[in-house]
Amino acid sequence: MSSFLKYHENSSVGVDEATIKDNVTYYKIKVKVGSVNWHVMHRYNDFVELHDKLVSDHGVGKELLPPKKVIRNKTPKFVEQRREALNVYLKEVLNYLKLSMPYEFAHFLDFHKYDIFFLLTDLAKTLYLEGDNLLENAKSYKFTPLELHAISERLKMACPPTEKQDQTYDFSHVLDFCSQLRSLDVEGSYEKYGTSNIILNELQFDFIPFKSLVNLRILGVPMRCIQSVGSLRDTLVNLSVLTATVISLNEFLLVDILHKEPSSIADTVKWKKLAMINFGNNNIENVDWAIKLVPRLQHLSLSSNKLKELCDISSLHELRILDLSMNSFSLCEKWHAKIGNVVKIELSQNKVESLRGFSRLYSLESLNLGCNVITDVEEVQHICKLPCLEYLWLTANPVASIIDYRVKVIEQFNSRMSEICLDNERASEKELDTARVLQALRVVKEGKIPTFLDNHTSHSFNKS
Amino acid sequence: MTSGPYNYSYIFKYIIIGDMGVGKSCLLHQFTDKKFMADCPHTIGVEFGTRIIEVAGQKIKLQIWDTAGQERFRAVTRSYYRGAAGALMVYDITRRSTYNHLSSWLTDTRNLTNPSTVIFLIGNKSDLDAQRDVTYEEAKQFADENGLMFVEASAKTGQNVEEAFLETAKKIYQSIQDGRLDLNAAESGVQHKPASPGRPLAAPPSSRDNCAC
Repeated sequence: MSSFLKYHENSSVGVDEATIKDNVTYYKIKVKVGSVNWHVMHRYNDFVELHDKLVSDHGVGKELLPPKKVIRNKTPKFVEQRREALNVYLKEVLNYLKLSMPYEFAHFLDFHKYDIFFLLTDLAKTLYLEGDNLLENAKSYKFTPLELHAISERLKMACPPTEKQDQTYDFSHVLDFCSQLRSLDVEGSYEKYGTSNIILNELQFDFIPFKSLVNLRILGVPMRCIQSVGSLRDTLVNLSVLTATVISLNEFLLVDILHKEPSSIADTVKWKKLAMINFGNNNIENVDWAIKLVPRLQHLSLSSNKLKELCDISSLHELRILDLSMNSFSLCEKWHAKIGNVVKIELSQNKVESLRGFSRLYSLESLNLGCNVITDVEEVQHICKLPCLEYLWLTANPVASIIDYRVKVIEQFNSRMSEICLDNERASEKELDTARVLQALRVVKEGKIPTFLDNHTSHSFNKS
Repeated sequence: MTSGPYNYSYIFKYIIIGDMGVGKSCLLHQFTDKKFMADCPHTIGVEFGTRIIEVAGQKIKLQIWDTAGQERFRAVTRSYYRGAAGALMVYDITRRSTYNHLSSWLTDTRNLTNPSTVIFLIGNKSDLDAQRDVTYEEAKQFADENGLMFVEASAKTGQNVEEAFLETAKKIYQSIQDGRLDLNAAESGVQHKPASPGRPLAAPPSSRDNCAC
């Protein structure tokens, strides 16, 4: 983004063209600071207003501005003349005021939208007046990558002497706010920002000023923009990094660590309080070892990624909820060895064929397998002994279209069949009756003794 | 007004200065978080911290700028002196060189702040008495000669850290009471809290005056 303080020697303005909108002539002013440029539209009256201030407060010559004209001021010839005159005017004024860059002139040229320093003076005032209020009502606050970039850069700059002596505009109010903020939203974009050639997702920033952040939500910002997470490792509880083309979790978790080798990672990079991670809608193919840097993780959400298999994450003792919907899981082998005491698994919209891998997840209460490719109703045998399972989704699987699907599934849960909530619905009395008949038939067919008794004992044992 | 962290009547701006490695960031951290940071990284440019304290029944928010001690950042740090109400000048009692540089820090401070800025001298690392290189008496004399307030403190144990920040605030508050410090002067480093929360942002220029009275 623009830094006029740095590049004022390499900056220019010019009035390129005039356009007529709703019978009013607007002049398009092109501003260039270093490699950044943007444009801003003003009518002649705006120039007059600016000029008056510049004359009275900043010693700009009164005769500099081309004069007013009341009649016939819309002929193409006149407009072209005036455009040229305003072009000369702006160039002269900029030349004259380059060093002091008064607030009014900066605002006229939209510096407060695109320039580090002027953007922050305005932000400082907003936060001075509103900051405490915003912090008090505890809603999450949205900073643009542009603002975050400006803050990060500003901290590395000497603070310039300006004509704005008012302390309301002091940068400390921005940092004060950042250091207390608890919930932050950042939203990136690949579009050009405003009328400028600035692209938000090319700006780098860091989280160093945020000392008390608990919730962070990053939407559509590539990880290469983030230079440092500051003290987030000590404070952050909820993290969402959505639609950010992330390939691997450690892109964020180790974003500021140069050597991402497991052996060289110190304990200090652990995320001490982080309990919820949501990396929805990215390109993650593997849950890598970096997840071990989040020992307090309770809720992991990796919906809409490219996962095929899980790695061993059993070291996450507190993990309870696992959302893996909209991925490419098919086998799910031996998940009891990979995940610990997970209570809820979301696997809808995957390619799961078999339930074998879930047979020993004894803490599981809820399993969503909607929209998968399970065909055989006997697959339920693998999970019918899970003592805590209560919610099961098999809807939109091939199996769900067979005759008496619900009864055939419920029946397999034996004495617990009335507790099961299949596809959001508990078994009706009628279904339970049919299920009991089916069960009796199964006993006859398989020559087994009804299993109520041992089922009952093992059940109460597991519950306790 | 509600109680809690957003209830205060003044904002005081502080700056912490001194040679590299004397413990400026640790003092700030000890004061704001009541914790000692064992391996504190070098400060790049400036750091920032706040805390609300109470002086004579008035809640005051301290906005503290912690500067980099390294010489190459001197241009950056110099620009932060302006408008500081309090300057904490730190040296390390176990390293005489950091003490010897005080006069140059003091010159900078006097030149770049205003006459009412309260300057407080802190001899840090008082827990390392065995390795002491500067005596208390010597530093005390330097402080007296230059009209500075002075304590020896330890960012590690927390000893005298509160005191240094609080005494500075008390002195500033006194200056306000005496009328020696003009709240409306831009460079005073003291501000009223914005008058009423929810005041419209686009306040006309006349109400830009941030004094509540």
